[in-house]
Amino acid sequence: MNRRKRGYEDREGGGAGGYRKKRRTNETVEIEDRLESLILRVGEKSTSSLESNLEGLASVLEADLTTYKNKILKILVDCAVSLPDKCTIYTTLIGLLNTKNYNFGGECVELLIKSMKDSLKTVKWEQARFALRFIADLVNCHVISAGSLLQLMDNFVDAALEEGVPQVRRDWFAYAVLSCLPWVGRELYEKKESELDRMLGSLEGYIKRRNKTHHNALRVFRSDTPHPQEEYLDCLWQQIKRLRSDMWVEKHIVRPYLAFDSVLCEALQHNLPQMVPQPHHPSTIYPLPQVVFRMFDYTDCPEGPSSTIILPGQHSIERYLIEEQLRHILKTYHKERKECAAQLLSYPLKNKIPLEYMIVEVMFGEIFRLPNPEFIEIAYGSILIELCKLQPSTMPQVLAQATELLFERIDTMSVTCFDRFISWFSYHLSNFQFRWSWEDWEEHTKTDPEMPKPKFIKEVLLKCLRLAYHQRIVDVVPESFAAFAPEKPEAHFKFALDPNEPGAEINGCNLAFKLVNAIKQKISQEEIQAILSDIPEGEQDRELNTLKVTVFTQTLLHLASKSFSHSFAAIAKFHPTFKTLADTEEAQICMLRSMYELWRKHHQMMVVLVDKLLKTQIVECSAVANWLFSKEMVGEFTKVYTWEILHLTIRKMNKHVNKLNKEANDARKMVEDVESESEDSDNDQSRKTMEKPTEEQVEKLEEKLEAAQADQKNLFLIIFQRFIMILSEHLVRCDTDGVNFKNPWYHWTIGRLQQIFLLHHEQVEKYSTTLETLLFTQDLDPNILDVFQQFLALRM
Amino acid sequence: MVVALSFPAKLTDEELMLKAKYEKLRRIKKKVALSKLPHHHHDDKLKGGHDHKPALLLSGAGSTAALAGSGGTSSGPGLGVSGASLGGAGAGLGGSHHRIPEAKDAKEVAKKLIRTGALQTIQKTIEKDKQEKSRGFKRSQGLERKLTGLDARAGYQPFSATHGPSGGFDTGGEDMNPEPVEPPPKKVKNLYDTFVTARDREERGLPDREGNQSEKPRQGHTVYVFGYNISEDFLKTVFASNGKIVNVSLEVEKNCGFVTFEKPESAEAAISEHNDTLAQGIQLKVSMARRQPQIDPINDASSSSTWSTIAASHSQKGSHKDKRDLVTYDDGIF
Repeated sequence: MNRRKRGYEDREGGGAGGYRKKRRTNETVEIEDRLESLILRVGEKSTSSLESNLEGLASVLEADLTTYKNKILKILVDCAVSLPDKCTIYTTLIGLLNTKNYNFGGECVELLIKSMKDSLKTVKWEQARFALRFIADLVNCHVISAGSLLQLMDNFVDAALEEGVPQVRRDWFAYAVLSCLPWVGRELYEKKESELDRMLGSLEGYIKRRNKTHHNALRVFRSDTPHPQEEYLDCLWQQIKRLRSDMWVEKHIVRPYLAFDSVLCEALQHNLPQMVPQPHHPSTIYPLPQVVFRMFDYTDCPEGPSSTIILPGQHSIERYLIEEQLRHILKTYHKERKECAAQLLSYPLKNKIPLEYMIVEVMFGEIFRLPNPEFIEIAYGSILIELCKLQPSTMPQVLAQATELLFERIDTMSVTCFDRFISWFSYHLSNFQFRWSWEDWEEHTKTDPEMPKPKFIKEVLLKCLRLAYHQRIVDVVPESFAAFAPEKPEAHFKFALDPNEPGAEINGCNLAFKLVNAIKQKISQEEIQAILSDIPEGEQDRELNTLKVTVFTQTLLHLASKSFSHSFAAIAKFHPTFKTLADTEEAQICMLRSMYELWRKHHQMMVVLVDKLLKTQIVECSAVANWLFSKEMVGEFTKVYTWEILHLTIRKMNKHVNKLNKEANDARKMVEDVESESEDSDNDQSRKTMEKPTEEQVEKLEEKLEAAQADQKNLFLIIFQRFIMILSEHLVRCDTDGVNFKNPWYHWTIGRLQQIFLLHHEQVEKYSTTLETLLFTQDLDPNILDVFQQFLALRM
Repeated sequence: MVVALSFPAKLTDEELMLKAKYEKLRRIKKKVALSKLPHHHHDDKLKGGHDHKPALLLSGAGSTAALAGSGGTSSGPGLGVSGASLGGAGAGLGGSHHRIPEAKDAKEVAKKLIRTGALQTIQKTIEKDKQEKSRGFKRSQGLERKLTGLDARAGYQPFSATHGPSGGFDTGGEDMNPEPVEPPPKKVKNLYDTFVTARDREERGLPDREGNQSEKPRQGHTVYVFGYNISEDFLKTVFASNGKIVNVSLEVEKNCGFVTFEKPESAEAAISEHNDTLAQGIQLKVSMARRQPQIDPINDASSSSTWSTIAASHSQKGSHKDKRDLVTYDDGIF
């Protein structure tokens, strides 16, 4: 929680020496910096008590209020919204200042309200929520009257009850109010019980009525046993209800103002200015709903030396408060893994809770967050490793336990989380010498390899292969794991045979032989293309082309099979030939297929090659999609790399569209700016350096964007159409055969469909009307339609 | 108290005498412990070493006999001498331990006394064990399997009835078992088993449970090896037979090195097998490394301790040696 390790005293003693690297000569600036540092660091570890530090700081600030009022106001309000973990410390400080200087208190309140309004306008939802909580906590410090806070909250509740606006908007207002109550519930209960009850009544009505179609799409586990995976607002509501039945008494929040009660209760209170949330605008993006991830309960944690260390229950408000604080630490330090781990482990209440368990649950909750984790996955993995290094006696053990529990429950895990679990676990293993009690999983070698558990093991080892090398992985696992061990990632060149041997494709082998020699002699591309056209007669044109593409792709990639770099260099060098050959989508698919035949055993190679072929625009995104859904790839359909390729293809497309979108927008803006400023001839001089795009150029850019958007839409249409086709076919077949359609294949396929919606929800959303009218029509099987409706509900 | 059941309610004269002596020794021990506080680690280590001595592990009359040896001397140092003679192997443990024989020996004698009937400390151990057993009823399938395996086996233990919860210690694979139950894989052992080595019991030659109730010997995954001109490869070759090695680190100028094993049993096996022996012409001294984290199992995940050991060894690359050939990139087709 402490921003810096240095104590409060250091600064007092060494402040003049150089607590800032850059010494500024201006005395005012120096004093302002000093004030800022003082305010920022109050609440850090110190030899004297927090209360006496606060008291001291309040008197220092009071003395400076006349000269530096605005600066102090600004710092305090900044701290209020950006350091939510120190909320009560700053409210106490403001409370103390308010007793000394009533007007200052009033200005603080005004500025806070303004800051909250700004945050709402600029859609900084978390900041706005923290500002509201801060304002609420000021009621505890007798800065704001309970009645006027209730009025503000009522306005928020009204926004939650508003009809005809997206539920995500209403959810946010309800959530913001509920998340203040742990702080201010008791005070409101004591002073305005009936108003509080009325407000809670309205909120309850809303929470019970709201639509929860999205819930299933966002769950990590489909099952609620052993731990319910609750919708976030439902969960918080239950926690608040529990708090209410405990007479709003919670023991978790540190409340320094209690010590100053006798001083604070003398103070005059302010009334909040009237504030009504701004109305909904269609362009506003609201936070998506969430599901609270749970994997531990108190029985999973070892009993500590005393029974005081116990994991709070799922509906206890402490669980919510601790999780929120841990997430906040994670968010603040996620870019510095070592610092992050240290901060997490020095969580102030670590002696009262099984901290390692709570950290691990929060970390996995973030890794598995749907639709997308907030940070890149490796950030979480690397922080977990730092946590292990910092706390080697417990952290690795808790992680190992967590891994076993997750594995055990993997049958009901969402497919997207399944992928993330694989990448985390393999990454973690690569940092732990790939040691794991593999023997424990031996029994799964005998089950259907399409079941989640064996599939997980197989895919983990494949992913480990990317982080090590083949022999290493083979050595690591027990011999009984032969079925799971990855194949040696070698190229298989089918034209390597002597043309005269039986079984060889004579034409192909001959051609390949010629090509190899030609490439080795470094002859020109034209000559290569001439060799390719020189194919024995008597064959049909189409097959000719197929043979040409196949032989060329395989021969070239085979010659370049030594490394990724060799392959990339080969593609770059023969780019013109590739382009000439891949003139139709059919040829492109043929090229992809040839690559697959060659590199079937080397998933990572296929992934990077497809990426390269897309980047160099040799193949188009739609060709990749069609190839993956083709008959030849049926055997690969449930493998993780297949979906890695599809997602990278979609991402490539999205990136392309976004880039063009930005270019077109910038150019359009530039033209408009120049037009509006054209009268101002003085500006022309400076503008000359920046080429002003002509109207024609802008139009060209916009055309390009439109074309790209059409491609993007087309790509999604192809993918969803293919999904609907194969799923419907499966459902019908199972129906006629009278078997349960819920087999492993169905589980994977419907999960992958859901994954496309979730991972690319921002892009798919743009085409949801088209999808609804063209593909996801009401006559579709409800099992498939459900996935689409869950997706729509995300932003409802 | 469980163990007390095996003794008659009335104490014999001899036992009374022992009890009085125990009290006295405890006072001495306390005093010595106080004066030796800075050498805490060392003390622990020695204790670990000595716990394996057969003479110390006798129960009842046996330990009385052992005490008789020291009975004549009543002062702290005197006990120290006899203790040292009991614990011969302790001599190999390294330079400075001679300074504090009193502490450890007082402890040893105290322990013997504990075994004869004074039960205070045992109580604690058993309490702890109970806790271990009762924690967490929600467990992984793997563990469920392990536990049921254990329980079934525990049922056949001839001493389990009288020895109560402590019986849980000894249900490892190396225990003799009258039933042809399929021996569980090694890692299926209760993690507490790792505290009692097979060798330990073999040396005793009797299925004596009470030994286990004494304080646990110092545990660890890492051993300290001293020998002239040792190298990393040398250490790997010599100790490979004791178990999977997680990490090897060398301090060449001090002629010593540390070998971290995946399992603590391996570390103990390494000590008993290689200490004071000649390997490839090098005289070795092997002991438990002093400064190493104590990893107590807090849950039942089988990879727990391995991951902990690796995390604690500060070595990410570990003992792995890449056996691949170097790939050369000579040609320039592209």
